[in-house]
Parts: sequence; structure tokens; C-alpha cells
Amino acid sequence: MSQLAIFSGVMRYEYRMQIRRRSLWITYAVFMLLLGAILFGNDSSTIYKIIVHPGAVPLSEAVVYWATIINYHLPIVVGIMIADRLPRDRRTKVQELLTTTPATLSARVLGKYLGSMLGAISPLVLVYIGSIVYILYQTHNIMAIPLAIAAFATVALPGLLFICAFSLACTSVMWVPLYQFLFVGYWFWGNLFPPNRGIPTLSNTLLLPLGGNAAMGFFGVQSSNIDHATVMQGVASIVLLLGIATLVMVALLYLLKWQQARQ
Amino acid sequence: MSFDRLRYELLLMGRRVLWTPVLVMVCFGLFAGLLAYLKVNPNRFLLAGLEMFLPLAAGIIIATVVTQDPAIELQLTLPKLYRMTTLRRLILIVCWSTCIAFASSGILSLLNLWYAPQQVQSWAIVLQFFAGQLAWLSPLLWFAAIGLCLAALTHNTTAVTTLLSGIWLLETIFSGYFVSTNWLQPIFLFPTTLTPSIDFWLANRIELLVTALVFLLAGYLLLRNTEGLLKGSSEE
Amino acid sequence: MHIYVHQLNKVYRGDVHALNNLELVIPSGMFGLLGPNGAGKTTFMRILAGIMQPTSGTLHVGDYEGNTEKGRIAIKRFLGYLPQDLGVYPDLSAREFLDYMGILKGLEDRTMRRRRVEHLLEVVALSNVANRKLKTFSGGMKRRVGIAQALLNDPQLLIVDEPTAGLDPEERIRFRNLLSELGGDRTVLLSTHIVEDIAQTCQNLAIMKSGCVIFQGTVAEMVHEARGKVWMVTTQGLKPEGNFTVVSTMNMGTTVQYRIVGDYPTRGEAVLIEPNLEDGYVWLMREQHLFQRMPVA
Repeated sequence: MSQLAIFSGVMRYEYRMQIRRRSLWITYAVFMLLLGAILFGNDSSTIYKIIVHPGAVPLSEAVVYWATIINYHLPIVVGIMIADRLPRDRRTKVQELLTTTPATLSARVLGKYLGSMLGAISPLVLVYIGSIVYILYQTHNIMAIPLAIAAFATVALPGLLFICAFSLACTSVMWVPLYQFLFVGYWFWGNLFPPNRGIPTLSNTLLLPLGGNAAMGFFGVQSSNIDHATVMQGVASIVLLLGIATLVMVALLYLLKWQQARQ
Repeated sequence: MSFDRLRYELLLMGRRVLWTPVLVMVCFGLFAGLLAYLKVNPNRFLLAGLEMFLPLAAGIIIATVVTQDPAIELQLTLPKLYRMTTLRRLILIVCWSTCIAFASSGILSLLNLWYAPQQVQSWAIVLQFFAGQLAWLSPLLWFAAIGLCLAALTHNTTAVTTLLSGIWLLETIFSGYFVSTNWLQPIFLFPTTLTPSIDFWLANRIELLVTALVFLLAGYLLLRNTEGLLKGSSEE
Repeated sequence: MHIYVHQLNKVYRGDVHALNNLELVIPSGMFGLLGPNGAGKTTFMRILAGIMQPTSGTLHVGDYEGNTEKGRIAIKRFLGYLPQDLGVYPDLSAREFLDYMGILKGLEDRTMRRRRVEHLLEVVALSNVANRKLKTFSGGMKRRVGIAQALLNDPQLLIVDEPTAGLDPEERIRFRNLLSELGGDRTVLLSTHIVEDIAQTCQNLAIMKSGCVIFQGTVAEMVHEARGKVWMVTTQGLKPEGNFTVVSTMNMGTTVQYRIVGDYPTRGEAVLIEPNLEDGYVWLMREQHLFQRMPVA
């Protein structure tokens, strides 16, 4: 049995288990409702104008704004939902069973990482698709589709991969509720906290998972605290986020191997 | 509650429940030290720890304790009602967090780092200090009550944590909108840190306490659903 | 103390009928509840223990009504419960866990409560590990802690759900002996699908299937149901043929012995033998299957 087949099987099942969680859909729905109530209740804001009248701004701005909106708040749900996946294997005693199979740890963990992530972002992607359909309807411009794919792949996806890696890894060494609490704090401080308050923050650096560097660098749209970025900075930000995510996953594998050897 | 019972409740909740609020304030203290070294005034930052982060931590802890009782099936067969046991645990967690917060604010006051809201700045020092405790007490009780309510409703730790975090984030990002919208003002959680110059600070703190009581009552009533509690313990 | 169950129903979401007009009278002493997985035994026990409410029907435990909140709280005061999936607090020691449960059961006198805890630790042979944290306990040891906590308040009604599942033979015997000693004036309801547990401890029993009782009576009556239906068939290796259920197969080297319950086999020589409780159970289950398969006239 090839490890690739095992990886693919694990990914599929982790995806299924994640999207079957009622709590995933309910929390997204409630969150979207609250967010919608605030956004649509404030009809003088720029965000409202872009959401309701995407035809009034350049197409790239409308599309990239949506990619950033979904990446602004909804990753909180993603990060929290992924955090309990590895501890769950220990709690349900499935871990013991899994270690007796011929599947390698890396195939299982990587499959869990990608499968859980894809499952956790499914509602987010559906919202995004809905918004692009609305933009298409308003603008009648078919270029919205390739632009939407590019915007999601460069603005939203690297950040999501970044936070999912940390969410999966950190709870191997940390109490899950503590990590979830710290993650919320990090999300605010590292992404949304204005840099001009004197307090050091990552929200205007290349390590911004919000995708502000890519939004500014590739599309010329300011949707975060990044008010200026070149194409190279956009690329650097993506490479950095993905690189750190990779490092975190490698560290996780080493940690799990060490924990197994200790038993 | 007897001393023995108190001791066991603390033991079975685990040391993590006790250490987390301490850890939050210690981390804020350390970061404030860094800010002071960078010549940035840490007062408001430290207050954020008390008003914004400690209540969120308490809410998440309460949700975890309510939804993850390993002996839930046994607990539900006992003559001591489980909802009373849950309420006692909530009181323990809130009291502990209150002690940490009060001690922290006392230390901040002594070090002249206390950040009082504008509405009470003209009051006498002692009165200012005590009224200023509402800065963290109101959101702490509010998050505790909402945590209990959501936990009793959803029976799911992850869902409650996500919703509490979502509320926290939205209140932080859209603070301006909350301030400018009349019907949202009573549930604006962090005015002391985010908009200290508002003139309805005291009314807001009291309104939060009242809504907390309402949610607490709702949570207590929802805990009567013992089947849901049992089912929830085995989900996900 | 007697327990009267009349037309008890429990319907879960998705129209799942866990209990179907359950009728049962449980006398005092040891009472066995047998049945396959999914028969509704655990649901019934949870309703008795006040964890769940029935959809309809009535339940009387002694002088108390099990349908009302007041009745449920009153029953819990003299109830001891050992669930199938016993959850414990891993960071407490056995002694601390029992002391804590004692407090929750209303044993407020500290001295008396601690004495009771020590006595029960002796009874379940855990005194020498009483200060160890429960997370270090084996499955059998946790079960023993479970039975100890169930006995803390000297309950008049003791409900044990699958108490010997996963235990080794020695522990199983110890459990059975312990449960047998507890009968008498007490009502001990033992739910299991291990027939031997009931054979060794109970005089009365009921069999549940698909949410209702298909047999209630004494152990002797249940064994009698299968009289004339149990055969020992010896063949050269070929399986016997006919309308029966094979209960056991023993390879004797040159021959194979089959213990069957049902009609005389059409192939193989059969000798009629005395039934045991397991045979009675198998026979009753077969009858139920046939009853369900028969077309309605």
C-alpha cells in the first residue's frame, strides 16, 4: 500500500469528518449573521458600499476586498476548529489504533492537516463563491472568475495554511482551550491591531496572514494595515507564510515521533 | 459548600483552570515591561489585559468545564442537582478570576499604572479605584454568563469558544459602530480600553451586569436538559 | 422495593423507538436484564436512574413516581448507579473520588463518610492503591472504583450496567460474588448480555429485544423454555443441517461436536441434552425471530 494512497485516504476522511461537524456550520452561520448585522447596519462605511455595489469600484478591488473580508474574521473559526483534531485522537483512543497501521506518521499527519483544513474552510469558500457570483451578476464581467481564483490563492490561502499549521501543532504541547484563547489574541494583535499605537505588532509586516501584502503587491488594493507593498513583497510574504507553515509541520512530525518513542 | 467539596471541585477542574488567569496577567505584565523599555505608555495595554483578555479566558474556561465533565453520567444520577454543581464551578472560576483581577488592578494602582475611564476621573481616588473595577468585572461576568448559556445550549466546547471569540473580535473591530448605535451600547464590552472618553461608561457597565444576570438565568434553565448534556459529552 | 413499569416509551430524534410500550415488574433481590445490543437496556436504566425522561408511560420505584422531577430526585437519594461507560476524574485519587462522590450523595458527616470510603475500598480490594490517581488505574480497577461509588450511600436500588464487560475471569468472579452479597432487601438490577453473569447471581430476569420485554420470569422458567430443544450433534466434520442455531462447536480430533438449539437436525445424529440459561436465551431469541418473520393473517 503506497503512502500516497494512505495520505489521500486520510485527507478525504479528515475532510468528511470536519464538514460533518454540526458545530462548524452553526458557528459559521452565527458569526456571519453577527458580522452581516454589523456590516449592513453601517451603510455609510466603505465596506458596505463595496459589498452592495461592487460595480461602483474596479473589479479587482471588489474581488480582492471580498477575499480579504472572508480572511479578516472567519479564520478565527478555522483556527479554533482545527485546534482539537490531534487531541481528539488521543481522547477517543484512536491514536493507539492508528500507530499499529502501516501508515507512516507523516502521511497521517499531512493528510489530517490538509483534510481538516479543507473541511474547515469549506463554508468560508462557499461564502466567497456566493460573493463572486453576486459580483458577476452585478458587473457582468466574466474576468471576475479568474480574478477570484487568483485573489483567493494569493490573499487568503497562504494565511489559512499558516494558521492551520500552528493550530494543529500547538495543541500537541498545549491545553486546547488555552491555545484557542491565545490564537484569538494573536489574530487581533498580529493582524488587526493598528501599527501606529506604539505597540509592536506583526500587522504591517510580511508575516501578515490576512494577505495584505499580496492584496497590495499584486492587485494594488489596500485592505489591511499594509498601505504599500511591491510585487516582490507580496511574493516574499506568501513564501514566508508557507515556509513557516512547512517548518511548523516538520517540527510537529518530529515532536510526535519523539512522543511515540518515549511511550 | 464545604471545604472538602471546594477542594475536590478545584482538583477535578485541574490546575490549568487556576493557572490560566494568572498566566494571562503575568504575560501582560511582561509585555508591559517590554513596552516600558520601548518608552511606550503601558497603562492602557495593561487595562486591556484586565478588561478584554481575562474575561475571554474566563468564558472559555467556563465553557470547557461545563461541556467536558468526564463523569457526567454519574453526576446526573446524584441527588445534588448537576445544574447546581455547574453553578458552583462557575462561581469558583469567576471568584478566582476576580481575585486575580482585583490583585492586578491593586498592583497597577500602587505602581501608578492604573487607567481610569474619563467619566470617573473627577471622582475621589478611592471611589475612582472601586468604580474602576467595573471596567473588568462587568465583561468578566458577561463572558462567564454567555459562556455558560452557550455551553448549555450547544454542549460543544469548540462551538462556544468560537462564538465567544467571534463576539470578542467583532466588539473589538467594530467598537466605533457599537458606540454610535444606541441599541448596541448596552452590550458594548470594552469601552474603558477602546473608547475611554464615552459619557455613558457607568450606565454601560451596569447594563452589562444586568444582561449578564439574564444570560446566567437562561444558562441555568438550559442546564435542565440532562439528555442534551449527556449526548453532548460524547460528540465530536 | 418493587419497580413497576407500565407502557414505557422512549423515542429518540429520527423516530428511533428505543423503548416500545415496555411492561415490567422488578421485585426486590437480584434481577437480571438480558438482551442483545440495541435492545434498549441502557436507555431503560438511564430512565430509571433519572438521567433521561420517557416519552410516555409510567414508572414507579417503590413509593416514588419516576416521571416527575420530585420523584426522580427522591429516587436518586437511595440510588446507586454504575454506568456502562464509567467516566472518572483522572486527576483525583480513588480515595478522593469516592469522598467527593460521597459528598454529592449527601453524606455530609465527614468522619462517617471517610469511614464508609475506607470500608468500600477494602470491599473492592483497592485499599493499597487508594492514593493513586485514577488515570493510572486499569479498566478493572476503575470498574471496582465504580462499584464502590455506587455503594457509598448504601442504596436500596442498585443499577449496574454491563459491570463485567472487559474484566478478566478472576475479576468477573469477584464482581459476581460482590453483587450476589448485595441482594436481599435491596433491588439490584443487573443489565448484561453475558448470560453467565445472570446465571450465577440472579433468580429473576427479563429479556428485552427491540425496546420491549419478550420474557420475564425466573431463571428456571427460562431454562425450561428450551427443554426438549437442545441437542448435542456429533459428526465427522460436516456441519449438521436443519432449523437450529449452533451454540458451540468443539473439535474432538476425529469428530466435531455441535451444541444446537432448535429442531432435530436433518443431518447428523443428535442426542437430547439438558438446557442451560444460554440455551434458553438462544431459544427465546429464535422464537422472536420466527414470530417477526411470520406473515400477519
